[in-house]
Amino acid sequence: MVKFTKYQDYSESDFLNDELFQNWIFKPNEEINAFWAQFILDNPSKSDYISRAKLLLSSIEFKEDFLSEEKVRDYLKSTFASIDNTERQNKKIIIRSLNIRWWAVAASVLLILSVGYLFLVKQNKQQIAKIATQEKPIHDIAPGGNRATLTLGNGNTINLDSAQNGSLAIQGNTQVVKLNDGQLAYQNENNSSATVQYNTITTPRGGQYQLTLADGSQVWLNAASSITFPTSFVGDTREVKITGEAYFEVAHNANMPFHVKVGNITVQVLGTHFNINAYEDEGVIKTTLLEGSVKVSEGKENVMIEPGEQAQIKNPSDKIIVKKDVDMEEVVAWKNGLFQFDNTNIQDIMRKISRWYDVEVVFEGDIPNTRFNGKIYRNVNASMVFKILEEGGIHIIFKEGKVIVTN
Amino acid sequence: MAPPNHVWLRICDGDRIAYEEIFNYYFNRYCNYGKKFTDDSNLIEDAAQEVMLTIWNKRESISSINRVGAYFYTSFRHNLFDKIKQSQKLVGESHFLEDPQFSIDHFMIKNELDNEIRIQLKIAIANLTDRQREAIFLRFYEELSYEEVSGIMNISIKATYKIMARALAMLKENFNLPPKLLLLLLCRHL
Repeated sequence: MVKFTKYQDYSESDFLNDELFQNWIFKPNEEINAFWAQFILDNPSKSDYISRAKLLLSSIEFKEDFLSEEKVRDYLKSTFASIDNTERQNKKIIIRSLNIRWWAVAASVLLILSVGYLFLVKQNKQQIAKIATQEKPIHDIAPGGNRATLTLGNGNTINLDSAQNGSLAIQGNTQVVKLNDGQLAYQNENNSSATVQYNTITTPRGGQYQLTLADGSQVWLNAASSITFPTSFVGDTREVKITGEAYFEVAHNANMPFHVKVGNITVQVLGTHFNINAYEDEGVIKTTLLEGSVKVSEGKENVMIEPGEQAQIKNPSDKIIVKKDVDMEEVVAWKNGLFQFDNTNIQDIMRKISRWYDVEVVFEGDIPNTRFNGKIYRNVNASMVFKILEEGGIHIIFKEGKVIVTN
Repeated sequence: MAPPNHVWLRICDGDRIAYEEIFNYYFNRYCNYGKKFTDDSNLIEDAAQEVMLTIWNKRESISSINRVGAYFYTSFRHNLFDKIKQSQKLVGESHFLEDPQFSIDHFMIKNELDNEIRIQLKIAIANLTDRQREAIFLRFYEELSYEEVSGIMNISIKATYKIMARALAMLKENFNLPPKLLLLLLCRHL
């Protein structure tokens, strides 16, 4: 610490110009405060100078021109995109261009950005292994994107992320067309279709896809999900089968009810909007209705649900529980490119994250029972999401390719 | 609060979370600083982003940089000045290009001061040179040390002390508190 003696002969100007004195005003801390308080006590004759100098130094302020948080976030994103791009060129890792169009439905999605390049860590394990010696440890995980595999009736598979836009296959009278934005559409040439074939679209962990069926119904598939459907609809019902999570906007056709099969459960609709979450690790199959009406049946039991209600089925033999006033925005947030939490615990959150970022999540020790509220875009790196969770007292680290959650 | 040194060091290892922390703090700091020289947000934000990219690209040498926080202010200032000069050249505003001026408009005097004193101080600030104004901003607002200020403004530490001393003398001269008010203020501030 500087000795008082240095300051005993100081004039007002001397104080003004002294860096330690200025620090007391600009960035005070306990030590510095104590120093000057003691100095004034010991040298009361200087208190006049000191007060005036202090007052002058603290009288000048500056206007602050800060950008909005959104804007800074946008710049951060584009900077990361540019970094990824350069690193891709430098290291010759195969990286695919993904033009993610965030599924435009909800008005709540304001800023829609397209992410240029994503570093497909998991998809390229082999390449990573090859260059492991020169590669730094992975500190972040890129978000999922529009990825899926199409299995045709004849068993052939088409990788939809690398397939060119345009017609992919003709089956009977139906054309399968890849649209330019992570979407697939089925178009019937005419209605007489003797050769109905069943197709399956499967999304991997970290994938999502949108599909327009031959009847015009739209289906959004979340990560680690699948849908099996006919290339054209004939007969008196329209029937599809799903696993994982899907959101439906079914085209109205009173003459041909739409059936969704999930295991033993059937959801029957005429034309409506609803979400089915049937991930096995969630333990509950949830059908949430946004518009119209649907009937959920399992064996002999069945219930009709209304908009805002959710039918929950835990075990095949249990009764169907109907939950009212469900936060629908939260249920379909994934389809709108968001993670949304409403009084959600960390285990539920990490299951979603594990599917979307395709990472294994391990819990270690006692995890605080914090509940989280709020939303965040899904098209950000995992670290961004973790940062927000850390605010809630949860610690998350990357270790050996896994995500470890500790208190 | 400026992120501490260890956050910078984490960037050396390619830690993107640390980088994000630095980005979130400094991007806005740079833009705010840039605003004092020009109103052209595009130039400012471009310069800020380029510096942020430089930080990532140079991350392996960060550990050897002294006072790393201040170091990149220097890059930003340099980058922005180049851009401003370039744009002036394009519109043919000037043949001889000087450094951009540090605006007076962004200085504010504490509200609780007597109106007359505030006007006096404002006039004093207007009479300072651009360099004096910038030095005051970097020292008062950015809370950088004299040494760091000298690095950013590309002058010696001695020159920085001189610039600051002259500026402070000028302000002090125009900081004439009426005796009565002085007493009052002194009581409040001690």
